[in-house]
Amino acid sequence: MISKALLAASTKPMILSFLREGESYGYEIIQSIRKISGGSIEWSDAMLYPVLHRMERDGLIASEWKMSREGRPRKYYSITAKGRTDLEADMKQWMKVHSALVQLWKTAKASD
Amino acid sequence: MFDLEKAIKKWKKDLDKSRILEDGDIVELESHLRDGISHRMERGLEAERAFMEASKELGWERDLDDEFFKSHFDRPKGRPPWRSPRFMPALLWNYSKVTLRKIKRQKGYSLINIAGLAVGMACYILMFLWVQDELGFDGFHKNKNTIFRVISETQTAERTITNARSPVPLGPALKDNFPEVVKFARYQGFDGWPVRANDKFFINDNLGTADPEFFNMFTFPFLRGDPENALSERYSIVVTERMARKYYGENDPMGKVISIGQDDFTITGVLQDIPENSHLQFDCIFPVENMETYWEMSFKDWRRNNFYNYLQIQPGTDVKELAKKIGAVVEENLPRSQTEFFLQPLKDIHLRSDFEWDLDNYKQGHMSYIYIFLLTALGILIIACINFMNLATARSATWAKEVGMRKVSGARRPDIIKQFLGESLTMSVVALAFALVLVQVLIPSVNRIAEKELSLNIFSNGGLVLGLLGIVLFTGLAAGSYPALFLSSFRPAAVLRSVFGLRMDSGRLRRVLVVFQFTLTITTIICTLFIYRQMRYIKNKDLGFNKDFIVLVDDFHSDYDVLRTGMMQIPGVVSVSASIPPDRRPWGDPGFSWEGKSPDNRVLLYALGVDPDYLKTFGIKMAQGRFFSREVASDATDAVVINQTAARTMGLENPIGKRLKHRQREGTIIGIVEDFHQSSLHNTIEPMVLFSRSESPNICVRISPKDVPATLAALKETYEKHVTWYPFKYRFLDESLDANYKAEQRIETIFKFATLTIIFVAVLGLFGLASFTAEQRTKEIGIRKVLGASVTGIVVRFSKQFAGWVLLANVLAWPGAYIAARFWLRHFAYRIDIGPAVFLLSALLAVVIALGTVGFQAVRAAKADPVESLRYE
Repeated sequence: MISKALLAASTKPMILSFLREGESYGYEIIQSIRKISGGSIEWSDAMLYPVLHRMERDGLIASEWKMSREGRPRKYYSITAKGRTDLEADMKQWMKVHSALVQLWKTAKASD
Repeated sequence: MFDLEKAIKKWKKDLDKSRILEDGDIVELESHLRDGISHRMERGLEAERAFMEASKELGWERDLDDEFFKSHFDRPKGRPPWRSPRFMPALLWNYSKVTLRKIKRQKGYSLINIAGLAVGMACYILMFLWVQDELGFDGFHKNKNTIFRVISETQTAERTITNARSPVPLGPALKDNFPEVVKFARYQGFDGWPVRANDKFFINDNLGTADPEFFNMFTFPFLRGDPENALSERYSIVVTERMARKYYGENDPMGKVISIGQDDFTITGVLQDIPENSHLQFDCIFPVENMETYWEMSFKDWRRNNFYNYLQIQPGTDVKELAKKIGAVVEENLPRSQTEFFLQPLKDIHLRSDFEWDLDNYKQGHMSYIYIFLLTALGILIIACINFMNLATARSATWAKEVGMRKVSGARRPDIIKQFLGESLTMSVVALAFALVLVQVLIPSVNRIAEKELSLNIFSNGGLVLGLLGIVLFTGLAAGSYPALFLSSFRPAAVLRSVFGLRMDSGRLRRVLVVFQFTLTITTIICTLFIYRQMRYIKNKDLGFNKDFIVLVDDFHSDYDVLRTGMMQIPGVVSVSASIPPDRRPWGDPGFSWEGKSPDNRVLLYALGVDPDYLKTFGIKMAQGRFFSREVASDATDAVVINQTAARTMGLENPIGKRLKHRQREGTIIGIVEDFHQSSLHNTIEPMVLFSRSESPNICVRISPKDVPATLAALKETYEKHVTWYPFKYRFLDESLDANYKAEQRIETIFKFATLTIIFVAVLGLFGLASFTAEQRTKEIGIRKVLGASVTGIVVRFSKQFAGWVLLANVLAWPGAYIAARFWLRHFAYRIDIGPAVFLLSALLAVVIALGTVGFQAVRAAKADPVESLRYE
C-alpha cells in the first residue's frame, strides 16, 4: 500500500496524466488507476470528487455533462491548457525526485 | 424483493439532507453509484449485494459531506462549522450548572432519586464487603493452592454419609507411600477442657491439636518462637497472643507451663491472633500424639475418624488420581468400608463444604447464600435505578424545552445523550457519597448480625475501589441511558411550539418497569415470609420432649450420685439426669446386631447414653414396654431401649424381649420410646438405641419455672461444694437448641432488613410516580369534579391502574418465589408446606402498600378545589 501522504501528493499529477490521454469520468478514473497500479493505489470514492471539483475550480481541468450509452447524465472531465503546463512542471519535479532516489539507492546497493 | 430503483432513491434522499452537496454533485455521485452497481452485476453479483457494496464504497452521507467541505475551504481539521466539536469545555461548565440547578429546583424529586440510589448503593457496598470477605477465606496461607483436605463418603443402606474427617492413620500412610504427598497434618479442635496456668483457670479456650508439620503447611504468623519445630516435643504448646495475654498479661509467656487436664505443656511459640477469615479457629495448638492417651485410642486404628487430614501435595499432581489411591490404601487396611475419598482444596473449605460431619467451632459459609445476597443487593439497586428512569421520563415534559433549546442552538442527539448521562452520573456520584456515609453508620450493626469484622477501608482495599467505580458507572449508565435516549429524541420544532402538542409516549415502558419493580419486591416479601414461618415452625414444633426449663451443667468425672442427691434437695429442682441431652447428633454405627437381623440390613443405629431419670427429666413418652429403672438391677448393664424409628428400621415385628448387641455391650430390648428430635430439624429422626449409663459430660436438671435465679444460685453452690477442680458452667437447653439454627436466623434477620429496604425504595419510586401523575392530571380531575364525580370515584379511578400493575406483578413473582422457597426449605428435613396462604398474604400486602402510597396522592388530588385547578383554563 501507498502511504496516505504520498497518495495525497500524487493524486493531482496522476489525474492530470490520466486525462492527458483523453476525457474521462470519475468512476472510470478510479477503476483505471487501480488497474494501472496493480491495485496498490486505492482512492476512496468519496475523496475523488471533491478533488476533481477543486481542480476544476483551479482551472486545471474542465467538465462537461454528456449522456452515457445507458442514457444517464455523466460528467466528463478533460484537461485544460493550464492543466497541461501544470502537469509539465509536476513531471519535472517528480522526475528529479525520482532520479535522485534512484541514484541514492544505487550507491546504497553498491556499498552493501 | 429488493427494488434497486427504490434503494437508490432512498440513498439519494439521504444525500438531500446534506448541507454542502449541490444538485449537480448528487447527480454525479448517483452516476458513480450506478456505474459501480452495473460493474458489479456484470461480474455476477445480485442487485442487492451490488448496491450494498457500491454504496458502502462511496461512503456515508457524513463522510461525503466532510470531504466535499474540505474541497471548498482550507480547513486542516476538516470539520464543517455545523458539526459540533467532540469536546467543548464551556459546555461542561454549563452542564454542571444546569444539573445542580435541577437538583436544587426539584427538591422532592432529587431527594427520592438520591435517597433511593444511596440506599441501593449502600446495600450493594455492604454486600460487596461481605462477599469479598467470604471469598477471601483462608486466602492468607502461602500454600493455599497445594493444601487439600481428605473427605470421605460412605455408602449406607439408606444414604450417603459425608465426613470431613478421615481415618487416623491415613496421613502418615500417604506420606510414606506417595511422593506427591509432601506434608500432612491431622487437626482436631475441641473446647470445654479445663486449662490452668499462672494460677488462672478457664474452661472456655478453643483447644487445637495437630501434627508437628501443621505450622509448616499453614501460614499462621509467629510473634515468638520458631514455626519449624514449635510442636516437635510432645509436651510443647503454641498459644495465640490473646490466650497468652489472658493467662500472663504483659509477661513473657515463652517457656512457661500450661496445664491441660493432667498434663503440663511448655509454651514454645506465640501466634498472632487467628484472623476471622480462617476456617481453623483455635486459641492454642499442642501435638496430636497426646490424644492417644486422652481419647484412649490407638493411632493405628483405621476405624477411627477422629481427625481432619490435611495434605500438602506436589504442584501439578492429579488430585483425582491421588484420591483414588487414597481409596485403595484405606480398602487395604479396612476392607469393605464402602467408602470413597475426595480431596477438597483449602480454598473451597469455607464455602463449598456441605458435609454431615465437619468443624463446628466456626461459622461455615455457603455458596448459595453468596448468590442469594448478591441477587438481593442487585435487586435493590435495580429498583432504585428504575425509580430514576421512571421519574426522569415521567417528568420529561419539564425538560423538553431545555432539549429543544439546546437542539436549536446546535446540539445534536449525541450531545444531548452525553449531557443526560453526565447528569445521571453526577447523581450517582452524589448518591455514592451518601451511601458511603450510610455504610459507615451501618457497618457496626451489620458486623454484629453477620458476625464479621468488615470495615470500609477505601485506601487499602483496591477491590473495593474498583467495585465503587463499577457501581457508579453501572448506576449512572443503567439509570441514565433510557431517559437520555428518550429525551434526546425530541424534535425541537414540536417541543418548542407548545407543550400540549407533545406526545409523551414513554408510558408503556414505565408500566413495564413498575411491574418489574414490584415483581422483585413481592418475590422478596414471599421469601421473607417463608423464612419467618419456617423459623416460627422450628420454635413451636413439638420435638417429642419438653425443652423448657432444663439447665445443662458441664460435668467432668464428679461423684455423680453425691452431686445428684445434693441437687435434688434444692426446692426448685424437679429432676436430675446424667444423660446426653437432645441437642446434638450422636454417632451412627453400622456395628449393631440383633436377633432376627437380616444379613443385608446395613442400617446405621445411633447410640445414646442415658440414665433412668432421662424420661422424666425431658418429658419423653413411652410407646411400648418400660424405661430403665433403678429398681431392676440388670437394667444398668443388660437392657436397652429403642425409639419407634429404630423399631421400624430394624424390621422386627415385636422388638421387646429381643437381644441387641453392639461391640462389647449387649442387652434385652425392654421398651420403645416415642420418637423425639435428638438433633436439629435439618435431619430426619434417626433410629436410636438408648443404653443405660450413669455418666455424661452433662448433667441435665429440670427446674421449676418459679424463681429461676434462686435455683441457679443453689445449683452453683451445691456444685462447687462437690466439684472443686472444674468451675460451674451451665446453659439452658432451649438456647442450646437455638444455636443449631444460627445460620438460618442470620438469614432471617438479613432478609427482614432487605425486605424493608426493598419496600422502602419501591414505595419511594411509586410515590414519586403517583405524585407526578396526580400533578399531570389535576385538570382532568378538576373537570371530572365539576361534572359531578365524587372523591371516592376519582380515587378509585386513579388507583385502579396501579392496583392492576401490582396484581400482575404478584402473578409474575410467584413462580420465582416458589422455586426460591423450595430451594431454601429443602435444607430442613421438617419444614412447612408451601401453601397458597403466604402468596395471598404477600399479594395483599403489596396491594395495600401500593394503594396506600398511591391513594394518599389520589385523595389529595381528588380533594383539591376544581376552581383552583381550572382557573386558567
